[in-house]
Amino acid sequence: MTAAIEIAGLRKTFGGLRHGNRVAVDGLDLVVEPGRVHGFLGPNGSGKTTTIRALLGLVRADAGAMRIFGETVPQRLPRVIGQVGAVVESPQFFPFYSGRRNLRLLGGVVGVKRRRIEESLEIVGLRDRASDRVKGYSLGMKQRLAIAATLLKDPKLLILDEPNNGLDPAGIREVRDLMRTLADSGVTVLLSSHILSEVQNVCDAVSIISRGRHVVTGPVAEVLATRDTHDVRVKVSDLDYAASLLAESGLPVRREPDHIVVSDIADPAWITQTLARRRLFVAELTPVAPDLESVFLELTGTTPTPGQHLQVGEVATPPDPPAPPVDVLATEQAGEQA
Amino acid sequence: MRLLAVEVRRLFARRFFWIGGLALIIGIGVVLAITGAQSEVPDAADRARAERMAAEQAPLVEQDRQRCQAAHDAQQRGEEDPSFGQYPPGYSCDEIRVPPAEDFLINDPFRFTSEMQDRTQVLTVVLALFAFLVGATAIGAEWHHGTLAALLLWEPRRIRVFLAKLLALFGGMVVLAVAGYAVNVAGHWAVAQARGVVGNVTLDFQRELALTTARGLAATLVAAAVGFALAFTLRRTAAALGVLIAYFGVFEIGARAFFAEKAEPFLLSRYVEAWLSKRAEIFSYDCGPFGDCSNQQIVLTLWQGAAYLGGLGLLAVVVAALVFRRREVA
Repeated sequence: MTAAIEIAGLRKTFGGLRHGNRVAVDGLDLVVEPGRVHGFLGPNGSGKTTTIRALLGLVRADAGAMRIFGETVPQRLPRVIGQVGAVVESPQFFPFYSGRRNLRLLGGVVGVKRRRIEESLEIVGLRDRASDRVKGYSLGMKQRLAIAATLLKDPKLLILDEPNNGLDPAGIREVRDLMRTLADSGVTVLLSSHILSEVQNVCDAVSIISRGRHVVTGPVAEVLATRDTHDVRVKVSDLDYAASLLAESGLPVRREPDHIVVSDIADPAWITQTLARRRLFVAELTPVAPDLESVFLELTGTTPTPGQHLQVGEVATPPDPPAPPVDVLATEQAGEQA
Repeated sequence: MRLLAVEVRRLFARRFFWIGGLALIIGIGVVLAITGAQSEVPDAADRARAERMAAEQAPLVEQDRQRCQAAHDAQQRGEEDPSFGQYPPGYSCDEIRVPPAEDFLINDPFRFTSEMQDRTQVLTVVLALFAFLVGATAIGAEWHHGTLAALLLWEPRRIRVFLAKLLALFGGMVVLAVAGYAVNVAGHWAVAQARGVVGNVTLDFQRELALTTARGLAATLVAAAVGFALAFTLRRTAAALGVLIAYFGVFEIGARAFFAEKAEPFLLSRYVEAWLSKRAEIFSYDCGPFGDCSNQQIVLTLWQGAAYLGGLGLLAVVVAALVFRRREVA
């Protein structure tokens, strides 16, 4: 099946008289399979928005190839743009026109029916405020209007760059449900977001980039598994004694204020047995699964370090591993073929 | 066509367009009111006296015309000019005509046929300035609010987007300018009927007025295109206005101050004058180091004006389109 998005070797440099050239995207590869919600993650300044802009023909790539539904873009973008709905960074509308009028102007370009405009407004919860001027909208309402605009086309590919900006909790949940509903009906969603819990909840697959380069791609569970340290959280009455007992076995043990964390443990039952022999009885034994946030911070090298103020585009440690990129999907497919 | 229709709707939805259009019509109304108030209505006695004086002038004018003709005939035969250079070659004897009776009125009424051409040209200057502002603000607002990027997500063919916006601007300005010219002519005719003198509305007068209006409309569209192109290229309404002010407020004034009449043949305003008035005359008076002075006259023709304005408009539009085609839209 043709991929919804294929990007190979994308490179984009921004020139500046004062600060010289800045590489925003550096040989990025990305494949988004159709019918999936694909998370697109990276720290600030890592090149996510530039990639999306290049894909949509808003900026010119210096090198690389891009395709949407098999059509080379930006050359053949007009052939597929009718199937692509996109919100790029902040929503942009005429502030002195109403939300409805803004949608009519955009929809008029491709002859969208008025009924569809009303449906889109209803879906994003703006029906009763559609006649108000956009100038008076909150950021969240503008975001809803931008999403409504993307829905006008009945898109097959939805590109959402930080769609949760300014949304209230209900709005975030509505957007999440909307993405799932659309994906279930066959729409591909590329979601760029910094709310990693949302990405973890809603995305089937994820790509992480750092400093314009691809770091990892794959199903969310697989990406998380690449950084699974098999940690177990242990609570007992005497934490110091328990920590020294477990450390004697050569396992990495970390003392936290009210529990200890044991790493690289293959069988958690060994902990209960070991401690019970010394009459220490375990009150809690919980496997610690890595979350996307910690994986993201580790892979992109942006884990906050006390006393260090990371600047945009900087990494505390080089992204691990920066090269070669891990493509879990490809690895999986290779395994299946073998 | 859909894109063009959307752009027309977008232009007509702009408040500046309607407020400016309304201000224009109100401005014309104020001019008409002042014209009516200042027009000194001739009474019957004044009219009778004027007609009598015009009749008295007729034989004198005819004698003058005959002298002119005789001088030209003598010049052609190579004989001595009996007028001693009063009627130089090229001077049209047909222009020696009996002035209309209105010219002899003691009161000074508004004369429709005498003043309408000038007033149409004045309106053209106002319309052109307004068209520049409409063109610049329409696209400047789009850059400012980022809606151009949003539009490109619906229609990525940039030259189409550019042309649709330009054509919509032209369409809007044609509607507004035609309405302005119509109100202007009809209003002045009504004022002349009520409180002035209409004069002899001949076919020649009508044709000249129509041509003046058509040239004014063309100049208005060029101004709109230049404002649009500048704002498209510079991405800001203020930048386009800055160029306008810098040119007319600094460059032309500076050029006249430093180079006097030598600068005139290069200044836009003179070509605008040539286009609107069918010709512009530039006189220069040069004196050498030994007191040898000479008069020089340069005539800018209608077609030179057309070429200058058309070339300027076309250049601005082509540059803006090419820049937009490659520009990165944030």
